[in-house]
Amino acid sequence: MSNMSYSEYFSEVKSNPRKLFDDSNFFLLNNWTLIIGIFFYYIVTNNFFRQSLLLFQDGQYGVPFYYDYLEALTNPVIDILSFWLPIIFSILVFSGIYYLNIGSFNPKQTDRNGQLVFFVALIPFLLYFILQLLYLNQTDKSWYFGLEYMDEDSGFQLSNDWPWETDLHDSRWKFYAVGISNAIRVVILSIFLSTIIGTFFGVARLSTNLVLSKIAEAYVEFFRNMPLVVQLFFWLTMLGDILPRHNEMWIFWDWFYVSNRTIMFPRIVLDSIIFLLLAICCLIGFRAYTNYLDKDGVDDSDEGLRQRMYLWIGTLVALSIFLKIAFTLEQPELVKPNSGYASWYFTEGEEISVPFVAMMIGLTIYTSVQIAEIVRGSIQSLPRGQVEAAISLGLSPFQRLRLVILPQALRSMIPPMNNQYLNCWKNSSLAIIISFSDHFAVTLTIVNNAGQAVPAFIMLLITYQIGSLLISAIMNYLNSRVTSVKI
Amino acid sequence: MKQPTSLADYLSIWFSNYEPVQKTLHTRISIFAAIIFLYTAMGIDKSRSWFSLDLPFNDPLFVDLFTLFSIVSFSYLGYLYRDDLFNTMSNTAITLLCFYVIFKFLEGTMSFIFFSANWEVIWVNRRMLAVGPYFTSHGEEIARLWPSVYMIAVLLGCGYGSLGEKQKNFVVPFTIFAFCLVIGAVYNIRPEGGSGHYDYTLTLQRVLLTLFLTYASFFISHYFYKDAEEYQLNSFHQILSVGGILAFILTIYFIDPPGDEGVQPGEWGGLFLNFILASSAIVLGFGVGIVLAFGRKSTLPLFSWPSTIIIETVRSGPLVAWLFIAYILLPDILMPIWDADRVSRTILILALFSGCYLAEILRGGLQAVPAGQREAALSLGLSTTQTNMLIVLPQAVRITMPAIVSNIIGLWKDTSLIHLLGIHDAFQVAKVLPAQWEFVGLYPEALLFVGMIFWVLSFYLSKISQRIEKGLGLRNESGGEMT
Repeated sequence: MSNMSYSEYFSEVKSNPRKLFDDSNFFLLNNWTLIIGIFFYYIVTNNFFRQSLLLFQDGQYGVPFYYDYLEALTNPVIDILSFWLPIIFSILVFSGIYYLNIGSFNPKQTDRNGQLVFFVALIPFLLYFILQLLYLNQTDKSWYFGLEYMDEDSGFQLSNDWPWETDLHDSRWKFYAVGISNAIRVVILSIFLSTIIGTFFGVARLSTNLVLSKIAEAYVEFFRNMPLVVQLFFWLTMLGDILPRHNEMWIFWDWFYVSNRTIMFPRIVLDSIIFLLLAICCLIGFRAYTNYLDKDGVDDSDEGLRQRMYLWIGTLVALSIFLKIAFTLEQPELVKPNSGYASWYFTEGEEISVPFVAMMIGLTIYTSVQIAEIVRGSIQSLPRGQVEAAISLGLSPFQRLRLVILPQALRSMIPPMNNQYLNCWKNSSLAIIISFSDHFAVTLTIVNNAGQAVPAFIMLLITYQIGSLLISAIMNYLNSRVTSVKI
Repeated sequence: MKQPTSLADYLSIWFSNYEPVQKTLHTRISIFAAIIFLYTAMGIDKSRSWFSLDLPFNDPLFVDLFTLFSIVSFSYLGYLYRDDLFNTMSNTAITLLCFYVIFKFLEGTMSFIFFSANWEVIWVNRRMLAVGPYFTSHGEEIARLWPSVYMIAVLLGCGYGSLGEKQKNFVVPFTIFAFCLVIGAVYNIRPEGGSGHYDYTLTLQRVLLTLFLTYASFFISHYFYKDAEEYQLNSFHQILSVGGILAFILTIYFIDPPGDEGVQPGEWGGLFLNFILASSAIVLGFGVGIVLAFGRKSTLPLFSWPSTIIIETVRSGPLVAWLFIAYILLPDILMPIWDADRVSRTILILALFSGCYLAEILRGGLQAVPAGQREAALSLGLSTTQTNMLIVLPQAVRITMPAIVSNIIGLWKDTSLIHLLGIHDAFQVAKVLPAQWEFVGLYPEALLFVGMIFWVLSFYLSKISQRIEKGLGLRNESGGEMT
């Protein structure tokens, strides 16, 4: 049909009228998915057109400032338009897709016309969404784009605000910052710990010692397939069970107090900044001097080693003296105003909350099993000859691991590791389950008591994106460091 | 070689060369024996029954004896693998430490599971865990769930029957599962409990019908597709996947038919809601993912820019944030068009989220398909759509199959997040179970049980993924043994 001019086709149909039905049957059979699709498209666009036309109107759904231009848009007009517009659009889209499919255009035209058809097909949806957003922006408080609410008093309190102090009359910006600091604290600690634990279990899973590898496998398989939500909640309840009540708290040498309400540890107070600077200078000087000594290669004669040892000891002694003078430790002090332990509180010292510990345990374990799998995978993808060469060189198992296997595995480990760190950063949002106030929990509370959801969520997404970009940047830098040596 | 003469000679030869023929069997038996002995010792210690039998001896001496037996079984295990475990000093130390850890861990776990835990909280509320609070209190509505169970049973049987494996591999585990199902459905320790009506005979009939359907479809499809050619199997699997999607639509239709009758999605709950969320998000997400992947790869700006923006925006935030956006903001936009309830909105946003991650996975796969494939298809006269759908996409899916399955596993685990929106999914039910007055504070039992439900399916899927990897030849296991 497409190869024939229309006049030829008409003359043929005139001579044999049955051909028209044959052709339409053929057409219907070949394009049945398209026809069904267009039918659904018609139903959907019908609704969308009606709603967007109603949005133009003044009244219950109306946007006032359009009204002057669109006085003619009365209800009967809307009925007529919302009957005909979907039909016109369906026919347009249908014919567009049909002609694209039968291949009547050259590639360049196909590209252009394909985009055109796509755009035409999207018009009803775009129209509706833009109008609805404008309408919501003017009528609904939560869609108002403005950050003034962040300067107001918060109206709520945080249970975990270490190391900052917050109270009811601080602005919401401060609360948000405290939330971010909480999240960063958890994430950095978990990333650090989970890298160590994950590497250990990843290596242990490949150990020739059967029991060790089975233990590592059981650990990985158990925690990998358990949802993080369940784990976090489980750790919180377990900590509540294991830790003693406030009146029976564990006290370690008057320095550490552990109970199921808080965990207290001594505060480090900076006394004199001069001695801290001295300590830093001492470290820098040591580093510079050893670099100077090593400029022609490391001197590993007896004399050189002894000199190096004296240097180390001297630096360490000096450092410890300076740091001892620079800092003092303040011991936490338990105050008992009444006999009832509900009123006990601490005056000095720093506080870790129990949700923080639960969060850290859960996140660390969950990230560490992912990292263990990555470590195992990248070690397994090394060529076998590397290990055999290391064995034949007489390296001990630990040397093999430290000098031959891990440095090479690091090359393929870092990109997936980056992914897991990003996951860790995003998973920290689950803190809301165990009432640890990271910035996600703070945002939700702000949304609840200020009512401006859209700017709050946009800010939240931007914060997460910035964090992800930072982690990615650091990991990309490490990756370029590792892969700069070509092998 | 010198002939052994004395008993000492025999013993020394036996101990130096002993390697049983059925090493695996010996390993399994000794592990099993160790656990049983430990269980017995602890049972005597706590003077509890031994698998609901009363042991005749209650002497504390037997506690030490059975603990010793258990240790002996462990030692036999170590003896079997002595070449791997005790070859060097450091290895010996590691092994002993590991055995100590295993022993302590087993002791703690078993004392929790068998003696100190109160599993009644799960047993009494198993119906609530499976179908949620609404169906539990409205027992007559539960008939709406059974047609989908039958359909899933038939699909499962047909799918396993046409895999071309031995019958034993399916029949044995499934029979065990069937027994558990029958017992769980019929045997009730608290017959008067529960507010909804519960008809034992009807339930038993339905369960038996389900099992019959599974067995029948398994054996029939196994009979027909035992020695089938690959193209026959492929066409059968195509029919099955279409049947799966149909079954899904029919499930929704049976539970909530258009009209006033039926159970609104807001009332769904329990484990079956998690299934519905995960499966619908996977199916819809696959569609979203394919569209976005091709869109992002396209050279045309009208296709590539929106897809890139959508993918990057969705991937920037965590799933929880998107769930709350769906909960708080999505109704404002959708309200005039569609008065969507919580569950539908959650399904939409889960599909979008998993689709965006899937798009990134598929994009990697699409880039890995050799350009020659595409050129060959185009020169054969296929259209662009045909080339993409029939040639490029299947190969991309094949390459990225492990990543896709791990994405699915992640989605299945993430369905437990929706309890934050106040939907009574399995995790939410488990969270509120310990608030019942009989079971106050039984958090570990409830949480561990619901966690294990999620665990079992994820583990099963990851095993399937490993098998697929092996079957497709994507596995690279060349080296790397150390320590």
